[in-house]
Amino acid sequence: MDKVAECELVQRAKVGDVPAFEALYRQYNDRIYNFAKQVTGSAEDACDVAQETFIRAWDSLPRLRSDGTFGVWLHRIALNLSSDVLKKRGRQHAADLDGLQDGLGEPCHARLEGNAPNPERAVISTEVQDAVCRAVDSLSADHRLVVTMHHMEGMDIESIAGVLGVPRGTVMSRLSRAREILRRKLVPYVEEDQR
Amino acid sequence: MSTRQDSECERIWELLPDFAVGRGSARARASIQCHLDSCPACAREVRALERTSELLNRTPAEPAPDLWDAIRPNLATRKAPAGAGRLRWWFARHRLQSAIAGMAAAIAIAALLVTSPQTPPEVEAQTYFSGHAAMSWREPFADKAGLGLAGFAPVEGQTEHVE
Repeated sequence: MDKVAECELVQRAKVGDVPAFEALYRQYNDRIYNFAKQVTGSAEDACDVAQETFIRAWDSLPRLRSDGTFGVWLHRIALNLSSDVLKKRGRQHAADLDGLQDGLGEPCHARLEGNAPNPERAVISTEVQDAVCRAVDSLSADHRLVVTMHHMEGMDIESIAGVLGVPRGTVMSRLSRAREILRRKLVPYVEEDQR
Repeated sequence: MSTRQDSECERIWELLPDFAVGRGSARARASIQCHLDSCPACAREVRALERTSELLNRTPAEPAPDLWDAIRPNLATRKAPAGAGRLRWWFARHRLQSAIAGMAAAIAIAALLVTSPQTPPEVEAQTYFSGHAAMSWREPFADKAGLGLAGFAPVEGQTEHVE
């Protein structure tokens, strides 16, 4: 969906058009769910967070000033709700995502049934996908979030910076370090003489 | 590989993750690229980082369960805002109707202008004479001055208005 079409849906949803909001939900549900899962480390919590995110978004939508920032705004709601979940859990202070322990939740390769593979993505085997997911799961939360948002959700650096409330350079730096760590963990798949 | 080359490679390796994500000034990037052109080991490292990105890009995100049935009942019906916002709300909600209403209004105004009766000449003349009389009341030449026709001074004694 292009940005213009999305803005049109946001404008319609703002004035109470439920089908328009459902279209936005279909567009963002996977992203919000995966994002919440990376923050909370739990599929169950991610479901709750995603559901609540869309309900709150509906209620607050008339106050959204810039229709073009809907995606970032939605992720911000999800981030706040995920932080609340962590706070309730008492594992750590909600604002401090950096210290989230490795391997906190279910691995990202615990795929749901009925996941139709993208033909382009199907080029890499399940074995490689599992290895990549395990490696991503082993990253710290801040690294995992930027990797998930950038590589798996396809978000640009500017949007990620907007969601996390950090400068663009910080996102780039985290992405760079995360890739460096992953490159070490994925030696058999990324080094030329190993392939 | 010389010791000097080793230390240069170490320095470059520190910079490669940033280089692979497009960070750094043009000058720094040119310097790294120059090194990569002559150092197969560092070039291999860059390709490994690029391959890592490629693998990540090809790893799909997990599909979320469909939550719409749980979300839908919780979406409250939007109420029309009060005051000035109400008009905006109405136009946004009834975009098509607004467009049709706007076009209809434009057509009606155009039709009114086209079909409205022309002012008859006698009415126009009457209007002119009324204006003339009003402007020259107590000042016989004031109307000419007002109309930009005054080219002569009033004759003394003629400025008195005759009741």
